[in-house]
Amino acid sequence: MAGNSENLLSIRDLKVEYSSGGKIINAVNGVTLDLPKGGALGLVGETGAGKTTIAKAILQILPDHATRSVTGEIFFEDRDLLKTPEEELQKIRGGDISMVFQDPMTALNPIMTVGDQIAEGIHLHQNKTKTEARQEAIRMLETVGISADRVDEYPYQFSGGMKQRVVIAIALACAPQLLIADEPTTALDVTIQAQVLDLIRNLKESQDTSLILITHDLGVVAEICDHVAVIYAGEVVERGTLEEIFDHPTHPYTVGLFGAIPELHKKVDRLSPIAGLPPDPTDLPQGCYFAPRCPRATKACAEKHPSVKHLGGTHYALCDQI
Amino acid sequence: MLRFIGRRLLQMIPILLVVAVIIFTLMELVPGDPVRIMLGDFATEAQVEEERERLGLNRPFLERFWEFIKGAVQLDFGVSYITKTSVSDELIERFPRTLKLALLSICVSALFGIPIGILCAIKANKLPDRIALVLTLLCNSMPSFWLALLLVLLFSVNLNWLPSGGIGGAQYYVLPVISSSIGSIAGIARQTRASMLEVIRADYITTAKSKGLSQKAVILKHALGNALIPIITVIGGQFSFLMGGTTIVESVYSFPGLGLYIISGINNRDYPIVRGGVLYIAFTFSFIMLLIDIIYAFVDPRIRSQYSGKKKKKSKEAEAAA
Repeated sequence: MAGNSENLLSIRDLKVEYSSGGKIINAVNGVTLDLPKGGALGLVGETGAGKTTIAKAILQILPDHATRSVTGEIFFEDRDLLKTPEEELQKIRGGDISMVFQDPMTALNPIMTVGDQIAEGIHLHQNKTKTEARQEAIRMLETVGISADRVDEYPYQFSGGMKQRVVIAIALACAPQLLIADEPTTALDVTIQAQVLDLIRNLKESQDTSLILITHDLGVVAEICDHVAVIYAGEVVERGTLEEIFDHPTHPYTVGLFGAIPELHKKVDRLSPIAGLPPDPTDLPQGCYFAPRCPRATKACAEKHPSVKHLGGTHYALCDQI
Repeated sequence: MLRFIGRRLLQMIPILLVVAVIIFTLMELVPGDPVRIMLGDFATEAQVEEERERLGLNRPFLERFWEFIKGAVQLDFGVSYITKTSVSDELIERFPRTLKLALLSICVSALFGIPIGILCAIKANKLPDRIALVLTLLCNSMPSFWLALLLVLLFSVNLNWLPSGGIGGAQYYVLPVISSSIGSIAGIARQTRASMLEVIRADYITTAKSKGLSQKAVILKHALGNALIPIITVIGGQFSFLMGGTTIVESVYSFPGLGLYIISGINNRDYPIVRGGVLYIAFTFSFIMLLIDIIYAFVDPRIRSQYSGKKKKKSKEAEAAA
């Protein structure tokens, strides 16, 4: 079964298990997703929902020591990345698919100049000499708004926002077809957040890159993405286009997420969070994973795992009560 | 950087002075009389008194200490009570041999220890790692005199391949180098493993992988450099230990190095040898520590910036002013 040719990336029934201290952690439990060419998909969900694990599974850079098993299919341009040999994957990583990491403070090698760190991938993927790669790295630095004379400086000489620009420059250096941005603004302060998001959006448009944006900020999704998938306990509980999700949130969890955003024009004393905590991934409930926190849950919800419902268009939700 | 080195060299003066005071005082306090040892049990009280007078041991403590310091600053540590030869000449004669043995041993240790440690870290908790861990534990806890004797038994007595002791051509160094390296190899391998394991899980290693680098490039280019600081510390410690003369190994192989000389001086209460020897050890130790600090600066740009930081800032301020 090959992915739809209109889709750059198709994930089918992806499952990832970690092991830690003898326990099995069910990080991703059967995720199915599609990303059309040129599209921008937002992965939304709470901390620990498995968003980063999905991203790392796409690039096959899950931590060796903790990963127990990865099953399912991840089609990227009609080839299943989970069945692709390591040498082929090395050409894809950084060349066709690249990733911006969550914490710019730790994502850069502290003992290598930023120029070398950007040039490394260019030298590797584009058959360029070291000198050409360096020139290209300088051009990338300028693209992300860092002056060329800082090319030989080390990460500790940069501020957090600038480090994230360097990380973005590394990711975009080889003009990838797919950019995965894992909470690229979470570790940055608010004024820098907007700059970094603008940068990603501009680069995406000018280089015609497809994007997967991982975030827990619905505002950011609305600004940049055209498709949304809501992740809860390692499952996609609802997915569709931006309009389908934002105008008709259907799954009780999605409804809860929108309910938790404070509205500026209304005066509220307290925020309305979703009550309770996400389930323990080492011991998932038998029925619907969201049932213990769900306002609409029935007795059946706690016993039987829900099935995916097609709500028209590309809108799907994982719930038996709708 | 030069200023830093100069400052550190100056700091050595008070350190060596303190060492001189301590060793001089301690040797006064330890039981045992060099004259009694020299003349044997049957010497008369008058003979002993005469010899003490001749060696100047009857003069007041401070006077003798002053004599010692005056000599020491001119690198003259006096004449051995027993052999009647100049301690400085003897140290200078033996130094190249110990240096050669120490350099060879530390190179062998690093050349084996670091790769073994890296392999263990890559295969962490798998069979090769476990085997290596047991072996290194064994090597670490094996007393070197016992190993040295076993090696002599096998290679000199039974197989008759290598000389059992003394000095001469390269073949005389083989067994001493092996004996003093085995423990260091194990120590360096364990430190390398621990330090690599920490670095391998760092975010910037994931970044490096996501660029599409091969595992070899990730490990050697990104991980090793960052893991190097604690490894260098261990190597430096072991090197300075070896430079003090590996007493036990030198004894077993009757290797006429510094260790054997200093230990004979201690046994005979031959004060000039002990004082000269201990000052030499204190000096080489401080000197090697300085070398290590300089190597740190080469490995890690953040440490380098601490040494040259002030100067750079000043030059930048000057630029800004101009």
